[in-house]
Amino acid sequence: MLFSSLLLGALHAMVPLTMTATGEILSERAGVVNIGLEGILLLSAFGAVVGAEAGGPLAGLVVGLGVGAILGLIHGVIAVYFRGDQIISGVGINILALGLVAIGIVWQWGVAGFHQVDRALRIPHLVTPLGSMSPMVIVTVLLAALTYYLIHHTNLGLQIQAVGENPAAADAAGVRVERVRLFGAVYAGALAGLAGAYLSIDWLATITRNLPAGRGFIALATVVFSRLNPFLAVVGGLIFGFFDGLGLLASTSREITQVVPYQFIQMLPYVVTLLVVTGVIGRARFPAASGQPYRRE
Amino acid sequence: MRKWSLLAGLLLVAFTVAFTAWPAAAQGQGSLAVVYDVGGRGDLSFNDMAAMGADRARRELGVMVTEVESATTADFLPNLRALARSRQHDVIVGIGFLIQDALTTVAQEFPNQKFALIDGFVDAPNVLSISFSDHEGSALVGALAAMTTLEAGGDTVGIVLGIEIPILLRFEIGYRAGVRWAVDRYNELHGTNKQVRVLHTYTGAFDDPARGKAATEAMLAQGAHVVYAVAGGTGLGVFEAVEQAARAQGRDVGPPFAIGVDSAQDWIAPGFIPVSMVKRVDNGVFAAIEQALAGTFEGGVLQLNLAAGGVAASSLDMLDVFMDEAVAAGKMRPEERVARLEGARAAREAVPPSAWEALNELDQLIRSGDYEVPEALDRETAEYWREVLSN
Repeated sequence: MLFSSLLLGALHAMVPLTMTATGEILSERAGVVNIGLEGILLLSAFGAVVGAEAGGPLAGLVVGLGVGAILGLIHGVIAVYFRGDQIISGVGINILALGLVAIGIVWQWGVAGFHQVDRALRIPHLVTPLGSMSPMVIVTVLLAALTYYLIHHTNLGLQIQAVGENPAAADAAGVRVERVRLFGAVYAGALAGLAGAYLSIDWLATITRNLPAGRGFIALATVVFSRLNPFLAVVGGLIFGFFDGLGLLASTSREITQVVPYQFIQMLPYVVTLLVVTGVIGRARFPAASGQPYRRE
Repeated sequence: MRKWSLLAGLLLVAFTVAFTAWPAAAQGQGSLAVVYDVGGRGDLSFNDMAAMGADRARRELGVMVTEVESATTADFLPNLRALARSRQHDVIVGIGFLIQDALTTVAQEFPNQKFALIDGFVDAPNVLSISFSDHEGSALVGALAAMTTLEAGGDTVGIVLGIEIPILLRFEIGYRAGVRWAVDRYNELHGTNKQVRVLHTYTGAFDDPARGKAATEAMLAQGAHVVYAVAGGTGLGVFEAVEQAARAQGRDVGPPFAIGVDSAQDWIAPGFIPVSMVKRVDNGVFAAIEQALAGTFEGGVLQLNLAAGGVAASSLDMLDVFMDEAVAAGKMRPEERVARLEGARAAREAVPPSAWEALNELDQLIRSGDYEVPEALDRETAEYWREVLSN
């Protein structure tokens, strides 16, 4: 009972982290870093609720994905074509989302703070031996596999890796650097958008002014943790989700919190993640041209 | 953005007109001004509770009411100043802790103007600081939680809190005290020797439903029958976890149950929240204008306890009034209101009558002073009471 609840909790907590990280992995492979993932999660979570209320849960997912893709496109255009600072553009998205969603909730529903999603508009769950599970868990793992395949076993993947490592060489070889990078940025935005929709119309069934509450940033950490490997992002998301749940579980026990303050227990997911990163996995090597705009000589 | 600035502009114009051409109709009847928190009217929570108090003052005391919304915290100061400068109002009430700094400043500038502050403290002779006995209200819902659990053969309840701030310790210890009281009462009535374990978690956030959900799932997995949410937006995750757990077992009504906080939150997850610990901000606002009119207004702290109507267990009537407001404001469809009220009623009926009796009995004992709920506002005191109340 306890363990299956923890495992199910971990699977559900994994989805936003891993899905967002998976898209960002591809984008960073292509050389575009987006720290605006948190903002994309928030805005697409909002968009998904509006979409679901207009046309059902599937429409919600589509709108969430679309909002994410558009934000990814904006970031991509700034980063690739205008050669803007990717950090600033990402921060901009985060700030924009905080403001827009706070106002958007008031505009759309006339209430301040939060709006609940009707149960009928939520993504239907699967019945599993563990309990009721979101189909998005499976979608996340499939997307990780697809992304891995895309990066390592397709022609496009080769181009993605090339423009991330050495855009000048790729350019000389006839790869359209800008387009490939833009694709990466949009792909990352779309996946984060899907993850945002999962937050609001599936996992938490609500939209608030700050629904992701930092999960976009933890997803960024997962990218590093996973050494840009989508499969390790699944593992990372699971480890984080599991120990987060375990920390909350342990902090309900007075026997434990009298010995170890609950604040330390709740650091568990971060500590474990750090240990795994530094101890087991080792250093991540990032594409040489990651985060740098490409200028044709 | 344009819609917003237009709105702000209109507000400004309305404001100017109000203060230059205000008719002298208010004479002889008294006048109350309320400055809302940035959440503003229509949050179905804190601010709407304050508005209910203003409405009651209008009805029962016949006072003029001026209500001012503040788009951002930067508007607090000019709004308060404009109201004070008009010298029209017997008392100006600021809602919420965020307005404290601005109110401190303006209260100094206008020493002859009476002010009141909800959920904050300003040390000035012309300011009435209104604070609530959260521990007493929490004890009531704790008694209901424990009795419900015992009647169902359970032995565990939970409380999910936000950031560990002094006021939240007060909620937690109050809840534990209520649980303990009900367990003793149950054992006394049945000649048993049962125990109820209270699980608590400070999630460290007021705005993270996901953490609230995870914390609640951890409690439910340990057999918690009722979970009290004292965590602002994080509490939405508590409700969601409880509802999901019940629905997974094919139930449209708890158990498990959740308990709401601040406003009558019973409507948020209809069928799963039998009661909320309501903080009667409306009574705070009403008390301020009442005192000002009666000439009994003095600065200092007004502690609104259970007996004074500062905190209470939610009732269907309360919920009814609250949702009336929501429907009138166009924020809830009438048919939705019916469904939500039915759900709240079903949750109440799913709780055994003995739990309601326990709640009412404890309510009487606290009112009459026969039972004093322990209050903790620091960690040492809280730890002391955790120990005492669990033995």
